Amino acid sequence: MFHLVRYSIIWKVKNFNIFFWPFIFPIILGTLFYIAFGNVKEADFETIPAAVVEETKDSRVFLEFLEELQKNGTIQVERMEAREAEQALKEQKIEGILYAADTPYLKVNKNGLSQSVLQSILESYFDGKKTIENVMKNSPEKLGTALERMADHQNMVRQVSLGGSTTDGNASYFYALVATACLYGCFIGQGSARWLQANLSPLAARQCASSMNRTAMILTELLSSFLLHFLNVAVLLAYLRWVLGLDFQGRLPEMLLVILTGCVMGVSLGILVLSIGKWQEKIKIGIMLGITMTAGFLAGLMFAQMKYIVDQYAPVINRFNPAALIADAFYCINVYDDPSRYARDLLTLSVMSAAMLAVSVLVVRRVRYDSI
Amino acid sequence: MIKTVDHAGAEGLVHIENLVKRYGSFVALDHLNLDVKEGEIFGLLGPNGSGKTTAINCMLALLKYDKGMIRIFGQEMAPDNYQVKKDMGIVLQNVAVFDELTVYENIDYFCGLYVKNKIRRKELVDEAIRFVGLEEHRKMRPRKLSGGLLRRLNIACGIAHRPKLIFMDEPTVAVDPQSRNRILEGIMELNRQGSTIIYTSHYMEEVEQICTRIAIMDHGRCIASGTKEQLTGMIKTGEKITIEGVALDEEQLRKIRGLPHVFQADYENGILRLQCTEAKHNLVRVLHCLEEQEIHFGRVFSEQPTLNDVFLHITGTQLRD
Amino acid sequence: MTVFRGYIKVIKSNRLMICFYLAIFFAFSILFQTTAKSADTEMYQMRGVRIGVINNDDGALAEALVRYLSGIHQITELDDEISVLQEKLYYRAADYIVRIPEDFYEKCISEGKELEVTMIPGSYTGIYVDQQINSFLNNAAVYQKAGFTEEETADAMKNRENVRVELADDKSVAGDNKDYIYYFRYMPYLYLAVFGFVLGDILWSFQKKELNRRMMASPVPLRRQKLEGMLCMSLFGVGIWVLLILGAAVCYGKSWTGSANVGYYILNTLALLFCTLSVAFLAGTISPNRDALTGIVNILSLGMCFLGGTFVSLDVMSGSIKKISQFLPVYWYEKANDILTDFSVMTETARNQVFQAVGIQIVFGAAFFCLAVTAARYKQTEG
Repeated sequence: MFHLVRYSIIWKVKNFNIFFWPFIFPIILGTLFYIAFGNVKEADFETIPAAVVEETKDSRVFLEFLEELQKNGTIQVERMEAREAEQALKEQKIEGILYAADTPYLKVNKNGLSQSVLQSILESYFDGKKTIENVMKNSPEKLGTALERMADHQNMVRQVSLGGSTTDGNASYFYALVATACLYGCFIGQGSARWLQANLSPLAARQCASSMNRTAMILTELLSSFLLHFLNVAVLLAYLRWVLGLDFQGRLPEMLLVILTGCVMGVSLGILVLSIGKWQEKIKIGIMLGITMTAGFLAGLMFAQMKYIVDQYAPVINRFNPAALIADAFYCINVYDDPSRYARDLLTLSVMSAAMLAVSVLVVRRVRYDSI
Repeated sequence: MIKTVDHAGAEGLVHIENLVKRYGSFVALDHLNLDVKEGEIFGLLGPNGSGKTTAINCMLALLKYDKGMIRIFGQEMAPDNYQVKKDMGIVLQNVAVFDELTVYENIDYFCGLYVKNKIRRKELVDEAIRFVGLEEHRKMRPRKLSGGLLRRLNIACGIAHRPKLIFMDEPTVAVDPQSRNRILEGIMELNRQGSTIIYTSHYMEEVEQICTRIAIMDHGRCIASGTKEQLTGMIKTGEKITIEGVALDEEQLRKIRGLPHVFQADYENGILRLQCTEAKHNLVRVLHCLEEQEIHFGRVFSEQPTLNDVFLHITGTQLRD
Repeated sequence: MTVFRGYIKVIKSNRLMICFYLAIFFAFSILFQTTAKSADTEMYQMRGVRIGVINNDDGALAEALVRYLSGIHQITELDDEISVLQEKLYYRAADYIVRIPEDFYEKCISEGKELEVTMIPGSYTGIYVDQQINSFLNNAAVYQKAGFTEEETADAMKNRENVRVELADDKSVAGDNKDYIYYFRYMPYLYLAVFGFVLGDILWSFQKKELNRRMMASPVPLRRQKLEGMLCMSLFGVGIWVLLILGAAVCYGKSWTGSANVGYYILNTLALLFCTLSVAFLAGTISPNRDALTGIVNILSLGMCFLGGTFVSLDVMSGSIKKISQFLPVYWYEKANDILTDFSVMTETARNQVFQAVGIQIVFGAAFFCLAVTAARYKQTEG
């Protein structure tokens, strides 16, 4: 069988398309994810346009505070009269009006991100003001030090997994991406199974008429497709880790085990879809596309919260959605530190793969066609 | 109307009994009966759509059939009868090779499906390459080969493992004459080396040239089978004579028609076509008759009846319609 | 119109596949629409997050932190036991977990060690809680630098002043997010996927080498062949568009059809249709085979939609990313869509912006179309 596996790999490698697309697509998508929201946690948002309306004469402190924020680009403030400001707000030229009053307040016309940021700006103003007032009251000699510390806003919070290792909040998209990438192995599996079906090509007919055991043929295909695809996904993982700099906390062996199981799953799926049913090849490709995209979607590929929503309303789907199982296994390693659930996820995946392969073997073993 | 001239006797290497295959309402194989004896080159001849390829695919257990039985090497043929498949080789109508592998790799791969021993396999592959004459193309990919060379590769892939029974389904379609001759010689050599070959074609000349026994198929049935001589012996025509560039009047034509053993004479556009029963000196008699009447003539052809004549006689249509 | 009829026949013979793709992506659309609304609302929510607190410190500041957070969010005090914490996070009984260590004041304030927190990946609210806790801790550090003790700091940080926020009573505001805006927000992905896979596949079928040669040798001029093909596929695209607009009318009824912006929505989706048809045309032309087509369409559709603001709201993306996104037609569609959301009664500025976005989409469409034609011509001559 080594002979067959060897040739199977050579043939696939030389057939560029079979393994190129399942390889390049997740890498490009991962790069796009990284570009799109790799930096969200740094809150690198656009400068928020706002107006400030002076309601009292003595609003120097507040105005200076706003000047500082304008300097570092958080907001862009323009002084306006009240009516002018309200018109600008109506036309959505500004996101909110800051009223420099005895107690400054905010006016907005909708609930959005910018409005929330303006609100938090006001909150931090009050906090800071109160802090300085307190310091001036109780230890005025330390005012200088206090102001220095106030200007030096530090990050004092660290995201960790439950076991204590640092995590990346945006990782959910990447886990779903890797999960979908594993399932993309179905295209390789399908591509190779293409020549196990005698009604699809003369090559397959020759294979089927040979004395090679059908089970052995399927296993050969599984092995060669899997090896290639595992390589694909491992490269993806390496790319995410070392090129894009996502932090997987050195739990690489466990992650490799997950993608190993995931790739077996993907390839088995492809072999199964191709073995059963008499439809045309492009319909089968459509089916696999549908399955992989649906699985990825439900596991949070396009939309991180999806996995949780499914958990709330139809948790049984997540128990059997291979993409969700793979993503969940990643969470277990990187966030929840739950080895028993991790093992359960992998076991479910393995059992599902074995079942798919068994069905494929049974179907293909004695199959004859109505028409070739 | 099934005319069988040979006596099957004991069950052959391949035995097909009452095989029926339908595609919806269309009957592709209509109670087909065939026996192929060990050591022969058995020809399946018939026009396009007669069911030859369907029959082959059924024999290979690739196609489902509706009724009947197929036994090979005394065992019922099934997709998982690997014991039987071990000794079979196939060369299908469509070229079945990997575009991505070289000539050597392709043959090595397919041989490997049957022969596990690495050393033995290498010997067989080298031999197969020599056999089909592709030594200079070992490292080339199929895309670089011409039609004829590709067909040779296709054959090599099917026979490298020295099977006892070889199925060849129209192996010389779209092949140049040089390659074709090579292929036909190769097939006869394989037979000499001990393989039984089932050879399908719609090229009558090839079948006549190499096959020891022939079955003629039409509309899914075997309408006649036997050796070439037995088949041609079935029809009245023993000899066909064609004379060109001759000018005849009614009286002269009548005289020619009256010659012994001439049972049909057609005259059109200056060409005289005669059909005679089997006898000695038919041609001499006809030419003598023309000379006696001082009739001038051009070229003269005399030929034995062909399988096309047999087909025409039985079905009323030409083999190549 | 033989070529046109030929394309119709091919489309007809693919109807199973077309229905299949439509069904899948339409289902995505519905799912997306039902969940996006709640996610967006959550995203803007800076309060009311469920936080689990593990308090291993008896000190005053720890208590002050918990009190501070409980003023904004829902707090549950938890034991420091992993399995319990896991359960809470899995089932979203807590979205965020704060672990206050022993000697919290010494470690985090005096020594400046970071406070450990756990957030569910993909949760935007976690970022706000991060900011709020950071704000608290930095303030505490200021007090510490000013010589305050732990108790004094805790005392000083009590009684946070509430910020007064007024909501303008403005009838031009959309108010509650209408459900249909998510339906329209998701359209680019649906169009790109369906057109890309279906039309791309059909186009590719017509470009198979031998078939192409046969058509080139026919007496029908090449330009006419292409035009008829495009006409047919455009009609198909319009058919899908009509289906989706009717779908909106049926699902949302008067709330959409009766809105003042319905005309603009239709205009925006038409521009999107033209653009996505061109993209599909381009994909089908440049793909050398079916596997490549699947890959290219996937990349184009997902890539454009991620960067263009379909799956992730444009608001969340940083300025530098949005600069890149401006090179994608989907960005302009979403921008117009957002404007239509924000203004239930259009002002002149808003109207101009929508027209501008529509115009840019049309320009993109034309550009892709030209690219596709050039690519097709190049392929022809290459043989």
